[in-house]
Amino acid sequence: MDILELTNVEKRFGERTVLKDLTLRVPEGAIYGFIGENGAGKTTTMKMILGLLAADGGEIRVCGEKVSYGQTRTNRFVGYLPDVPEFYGYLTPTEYLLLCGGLAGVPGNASKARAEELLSLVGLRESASRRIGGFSRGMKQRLGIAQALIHRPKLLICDEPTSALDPAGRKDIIDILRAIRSETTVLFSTHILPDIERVCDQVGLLHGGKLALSGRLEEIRALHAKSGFVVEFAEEGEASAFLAVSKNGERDAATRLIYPTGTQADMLSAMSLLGQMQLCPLKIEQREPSLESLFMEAAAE
Amino acid sequence: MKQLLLLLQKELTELLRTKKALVLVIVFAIFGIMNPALAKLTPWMLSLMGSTLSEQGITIGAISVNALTAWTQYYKNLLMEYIVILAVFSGIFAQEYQSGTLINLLTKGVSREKVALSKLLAVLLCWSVCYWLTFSVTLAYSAYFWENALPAGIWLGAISAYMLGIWLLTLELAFASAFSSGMAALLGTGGVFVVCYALSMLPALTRFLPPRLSEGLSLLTGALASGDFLPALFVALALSLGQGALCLAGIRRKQL
Repeated sequence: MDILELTNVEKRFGERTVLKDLTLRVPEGAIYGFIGENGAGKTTTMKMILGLLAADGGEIRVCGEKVSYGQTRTNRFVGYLPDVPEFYGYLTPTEYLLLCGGLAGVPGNASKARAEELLSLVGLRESASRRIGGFSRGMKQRLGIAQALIHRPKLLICDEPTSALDPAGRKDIIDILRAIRSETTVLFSTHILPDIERVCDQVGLLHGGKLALSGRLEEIRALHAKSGFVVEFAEEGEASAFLAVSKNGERDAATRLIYPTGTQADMLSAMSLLGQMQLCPLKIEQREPSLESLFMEAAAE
Repeated sequence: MKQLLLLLQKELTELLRTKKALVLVIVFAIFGIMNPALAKLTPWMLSLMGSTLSEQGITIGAISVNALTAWTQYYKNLLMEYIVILAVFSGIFAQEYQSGTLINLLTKGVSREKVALSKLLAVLLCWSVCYWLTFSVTLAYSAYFWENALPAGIWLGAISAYMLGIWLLTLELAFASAFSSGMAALLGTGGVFVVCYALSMLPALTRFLPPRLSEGLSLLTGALASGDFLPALFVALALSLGQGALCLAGIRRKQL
């Protein structure tokens, strides 16, 4: 079943068309990476899913129910983490989570237990009684995840949760997303591709107002897979020596050779050749398209 | 209902923890104390200056000070009270719109109207506490200094001034929920007040427009009768209800 369905959604801001004919499906249980450059319309799409912005055309459904602007009924299925979540600085995280829990209709006792559980999950247990006003950006981001999950939503929408964080903070967030995947479907927007590779199983690239590329990550990779392999040496001399005796090689960089048509058998023979020549390469690997090259390619089309 | 109570509790916590409530209570208590104190102190201050003044050829006769002097001061200070309370709450929506703090709450399925209503209730509650604090302090001191304290018309005058505050605050919140700036809310309120004030110069309209409600002193002196206040009181009540509804409608149309 698809938790989230967008069908032919359109959005204009004045003269500027941000989304045209956006169709997107997020199946239950997925961690969906929603990718696009800055200004592609990721945040706009998310706000429309939440009923915070009006769509100019098309239809959005969450858990089969239609989303309408200004009405927030479907939000009971959804947890939302804004890109820069803002809180009331005069409350403590526990008070804030209880407020959110109460507003989402979680009964008092359950809300309390859930708040404690989430504060441990996001690593804010020690700061539970401090006021939010003194929190760092990373702490606020983690509290943001906690507030989004307080009512056990079926769909968690995260708007660039890692973009503003340092590497350690990013890792924390990715780990939390991994930890909750058994309970919640996640739609996660970003322009940081390594984050997508670490955690997502489905991806969609938003470009020019519609999905330029979408599907399971492995499928996309397989579809665009390139054959061949690469050998990289520490010194230019080694590379030249190996290029002279091996077949079908091309020079990619001073110390890097590419064998674009190389099969697995070719790669094995290259390895034994390396052994015979007593050459130790820095690396020898099969060519796999990087996400970056895939998306640059799709965006260029 | 539960959501509304939670939101109201949040607003009140904000007032307490950001010390706004404390500042307001202190300021309004001072207003209350100033009214009778100034009246009581005037003869004393004049007598202190008496010798200097008489050297300049000004002689001061016997000055009689009574409760009415304190209430005159009370009605003079009203304008300041309105300005203080309006200034404190002008940013109550803008702050949330600009920082995006509402997004987390709204995405929990809370209706926007409830958010606006909780703010409206918190502001009116705060006004009620502050206003009646000033009033009771003035009343208590007047009773203490001048035992024959309660002039006729005092209650209607007090309720009228209170209602004027409600009218101004609901007006401000109607602007505040529709605009993203506290200054716009203040200017809008000021603008409407000025227009009403100008219109109330027309004799045919004076009795019906809210600015009449600030003239409670005339009730005490007997210059005006209660019948001169009731139309304005009802008009202000009706307008306040309308403005409250506008405040709820304003937040609904806001793109966040």
